[in-house]
Amino acid sequence: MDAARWDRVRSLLERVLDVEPSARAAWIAQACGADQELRADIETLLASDSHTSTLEPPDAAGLARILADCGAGQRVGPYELVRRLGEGGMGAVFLGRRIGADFEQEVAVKLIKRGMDTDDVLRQFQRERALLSSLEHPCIARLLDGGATSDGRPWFAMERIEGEPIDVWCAARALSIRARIALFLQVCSAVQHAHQRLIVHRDLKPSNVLVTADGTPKLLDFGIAKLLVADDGRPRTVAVERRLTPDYASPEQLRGEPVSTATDVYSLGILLYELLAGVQPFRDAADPLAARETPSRPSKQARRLEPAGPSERRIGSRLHRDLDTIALTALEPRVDRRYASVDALAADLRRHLEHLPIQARPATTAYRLSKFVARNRVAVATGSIVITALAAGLIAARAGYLEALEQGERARLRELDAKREALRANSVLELTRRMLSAASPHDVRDKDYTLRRLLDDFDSEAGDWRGEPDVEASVRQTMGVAYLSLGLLEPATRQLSRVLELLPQDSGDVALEAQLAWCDLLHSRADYTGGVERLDSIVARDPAPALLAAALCARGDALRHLGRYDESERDLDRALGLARGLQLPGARLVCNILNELGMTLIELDRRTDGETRMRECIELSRSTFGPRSELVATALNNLGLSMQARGELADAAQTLGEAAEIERELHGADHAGLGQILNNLGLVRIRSGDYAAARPLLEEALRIARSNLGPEHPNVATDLSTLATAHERLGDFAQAEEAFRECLAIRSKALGEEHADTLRALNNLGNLLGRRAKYDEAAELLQRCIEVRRRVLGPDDLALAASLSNLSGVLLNCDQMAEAESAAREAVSIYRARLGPAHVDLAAGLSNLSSVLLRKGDAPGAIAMLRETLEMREKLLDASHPDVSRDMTNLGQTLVEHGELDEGQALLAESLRLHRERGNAPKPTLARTLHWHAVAEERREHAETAEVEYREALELWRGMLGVAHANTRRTAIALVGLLERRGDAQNAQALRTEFQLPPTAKE
Amino acid sequence: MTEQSPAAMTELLNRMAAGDADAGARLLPVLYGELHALAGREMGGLAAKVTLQPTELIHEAWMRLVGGAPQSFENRSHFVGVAARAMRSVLVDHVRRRQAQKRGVDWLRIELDEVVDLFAERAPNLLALDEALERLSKMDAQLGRMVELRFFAGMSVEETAKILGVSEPTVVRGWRIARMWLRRELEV
Repeated sequence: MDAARWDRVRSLLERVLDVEPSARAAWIAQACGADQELRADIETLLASDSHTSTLEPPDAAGLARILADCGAGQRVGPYELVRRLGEGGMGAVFLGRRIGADFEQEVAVKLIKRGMDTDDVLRQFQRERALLSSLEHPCIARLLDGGATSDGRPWFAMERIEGEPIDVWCAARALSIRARIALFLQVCSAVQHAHQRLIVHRDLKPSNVLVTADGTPKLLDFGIAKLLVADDGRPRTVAVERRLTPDYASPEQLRGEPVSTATDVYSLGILLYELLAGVQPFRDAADPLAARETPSRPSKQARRLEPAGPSERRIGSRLHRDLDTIALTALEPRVDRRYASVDALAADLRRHLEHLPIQARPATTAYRLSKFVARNRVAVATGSIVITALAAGLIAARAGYLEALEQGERARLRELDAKREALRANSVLELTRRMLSAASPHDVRDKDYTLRRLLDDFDSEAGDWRGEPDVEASVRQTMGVAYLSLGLLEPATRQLSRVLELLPQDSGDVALEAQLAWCDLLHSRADYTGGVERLDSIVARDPAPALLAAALCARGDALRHLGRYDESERDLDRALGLARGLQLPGARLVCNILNELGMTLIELDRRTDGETRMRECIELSRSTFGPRSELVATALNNLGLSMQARGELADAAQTLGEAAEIERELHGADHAGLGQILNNLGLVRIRSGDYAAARPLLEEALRIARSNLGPEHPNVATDLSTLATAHERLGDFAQAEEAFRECLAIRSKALGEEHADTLRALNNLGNLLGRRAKYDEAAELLQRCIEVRRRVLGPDDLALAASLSNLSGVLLNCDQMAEAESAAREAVSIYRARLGPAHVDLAAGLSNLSSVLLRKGDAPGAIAMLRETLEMREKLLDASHPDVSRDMTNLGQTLVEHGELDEGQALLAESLRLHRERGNAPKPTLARTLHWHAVAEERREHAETAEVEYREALELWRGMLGVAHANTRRTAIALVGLLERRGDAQNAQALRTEFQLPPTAKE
Repeated sequence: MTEQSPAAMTELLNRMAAGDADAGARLLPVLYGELHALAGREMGGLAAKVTLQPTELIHEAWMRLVGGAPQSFENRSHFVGVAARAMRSVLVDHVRRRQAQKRGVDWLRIELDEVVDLFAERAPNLLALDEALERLSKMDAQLGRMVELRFFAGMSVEETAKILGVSEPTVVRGWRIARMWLRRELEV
């Protein structure tokens, strides 16, 4: 109905209501006339006029009752209740204000439900009052007062806390597991504070743990439950009613048994479970007591919840077995199996955060050592990459050995005196234990120091392990391996050589174990020849299968480093066969062997086989040690590198990304291992031409390396070098130069002037300086590099070719044409000889040579070479690769310069399109492409397009190179010429001034 | 409850509109008093014992007002009219939410549930009423506001007349017609 018609209906209705009911029908008939619709409207509306209460306003008294029942406005003790804040099993909580107070004091007033035995509650309150008010902890809401209302309901006033329940807080912020644990630890400290005063909370649950805006958890209702529940566990209530939230109650509470601090430990376990898994373990259980017998693991629950959201997914994957164990230990149905105190629970959580072994788990040596390796990975990485790789395997191999000791391997016990063996095992384990519990993991260098000092102390202090040669040998061997894993080769050598002295050559496998450790040391010193020699003699002695497999694995690794790939493969194959049949050390050794074998096969260029082994290693690790272990990350990294070498860049990026993710989850975002993987990933991105994606990865890798290894470590130099390359490709030459210089400085100092890595840095810096038009310094650096490379690496080395190629570009810019050409030709001939007809490096060399030919005036020769380059690169690289578009620009520019306008402009346009498509394409080539495309446009008399493109190029050049650079000036001159030809003298003059061009400058 | 002069109230409203949270807090009881002055009179014995204070219901209505764009409150009547509109939307939203989700009980829900139940005795389908009222307001804005004030805010005829600036007989007649129309629409 529209408003006008309604107006009519309404006014008729108003009038008809004044008409006597008996006369209405006639009145309506007359008023509506022929409008039947209007008449029907009026009649039906009148029919719904009634005196029923429908649509009457609700009874105000009813509303008032609801409001009154919720207590607002009531006075309790000195407080007035303002409004209801919440509702619990025991009653409602109100915001209260102190009546007549000069200052606004807001409190939370808990008004207990009717039905409690008030006298009993109040008597208890009087008894506990002093104790409760002694609770002073930043995470505990203070109890202020208590009493009874005039109608006999008990009330308690507490410090008012504004916050969110802890579970809501965590979920809303998608807090990480670590952050959740940190928050939970604060809760633990508050509960422990109360326990020290013998106050048990008895009703810990998320709604009693509020987190304030500044992130502080606050525990509410401390001790209140005790006031409401009699000592026999039954509520102090007339009616039989369950007061406590059964979802969070301990089994003893559910059974109505006496409660103790262990009850709070249990409830904290449920809270922890819920924070970790995102779900309450016993919610809505039909039989709460039975459900508590078999709680499922939080990680399993978290995984089950995976579809629920990304935060759950992350949590599910991060839950470690440790956290499962901790939560389930707190949730032990039997009090005597639970953590004995909140402190014990908190301590284990802290140990977990610090990668220390937790107490709750039955400690096996393999487990402790796995934690040791995890915790010390940063330290391990302080050595070279080689040491890192070796140390992990080395520690793992020792794990089996120590496990055998710990379990008192029968055969050996028969051989040796049982008591002495026990002493040996105890001493070794004592040392292990100390190593594990020492050392804060927060600062790497500090940790090295601490752990090192611990080892040094153990070495110097008296101990009953001295005197018995083979016991002492075992202890020293453990110390030696530990030193080795820290990259401390000197003390490692001292210990291990002493071991060899202590053990007679014929003392069986024990001596061979020591020999094996010695070989690890030799490998750490890159003395693979010495290692192989010694390993030969170990293998010849035909030791027990476990030892033999470990020795063959070590020899296979060494042989690969020596380039003796066939022999390496043979050893590793044999080791694999042996290890697969073993109980101990089992899967870990098999995984190590598979990893080594994979790398050897890849070196043999049997990449498919190699990658198959890697995948097998990954699968076995996953099924044995869980989906995300160190071994998996290592193997994925190696697999990714192999894919990278095969040119499968997308697969490589994905695989390395997965490795990085695992690494991050295992060890956090600051771990050296992650840094290495990110560096590899950055390299893959660079190879894919995705420099913008590479740069943040490499910056992160560099940050990690610096913080772990200090600013002058060779690994830092590696990261700097890769990052500089990304800067360079993105056109950020100044940053690139800075990074290359720092890299060179580190390497010169750490590795010496003639080290291959130093020379590479020299070459890269020289090349970059050439691009920055610092030709003299560039030429000097490159010539120095070439001199050493030719002398050290020989005349046909590819690295030498690269430097020659770079030098030719620099010399070209110095107008030393003959030298430039000879350098470029030498480079191309090395490339052709070594790399065959199609290779990216050959393409680069050809591209360089073509520049020389152009400058010489040999345009047809140059164009032919540029065509060959472009074809080669189009075949080898993705169309979106920047090198392809650069070749297009090079060829297009040359063609335009030599009058082949059509083909030239088409190539430049295509290059421009590719540049624009990529978004953040390298700027120098873009600028050049713009310039030459503008040239072509200008020749076609498309002056406006040309001007726009010149200007864009000019801005790019100026940003990259400044106003004085030849490239900038060339574009500026071209633009000035265009403007002058168009008669725009004013703008032309402005440009001349801005770029300091002479009045009649010509190109 | 302290008596507030209209001038003091306008002052508070303006300060609240300017974002002064303290002013909002002090206004809350005043608002409540306005809305339920009549209720207080009719409560008889109960009223003597209970000093009414803002409920969470009103509080939420308030939050809606404050949470929206700053409005200029010229006088109490205007404000009460806005509050009535807010109460309506709070209740209707609550019914919708209650229909949409079954789990998750919190205290505000309990309280609002009770209030909704109270209204449901007089208008079994609050959502249908809301929609019908929307249609009515389009045809006849004055009747729409009248229903909001009378039904949702519990205003007396006298209060409603004052707020709308019309005579009491006009409210009586309009209210009767509005109910006729709504009953027909809702077939109750």
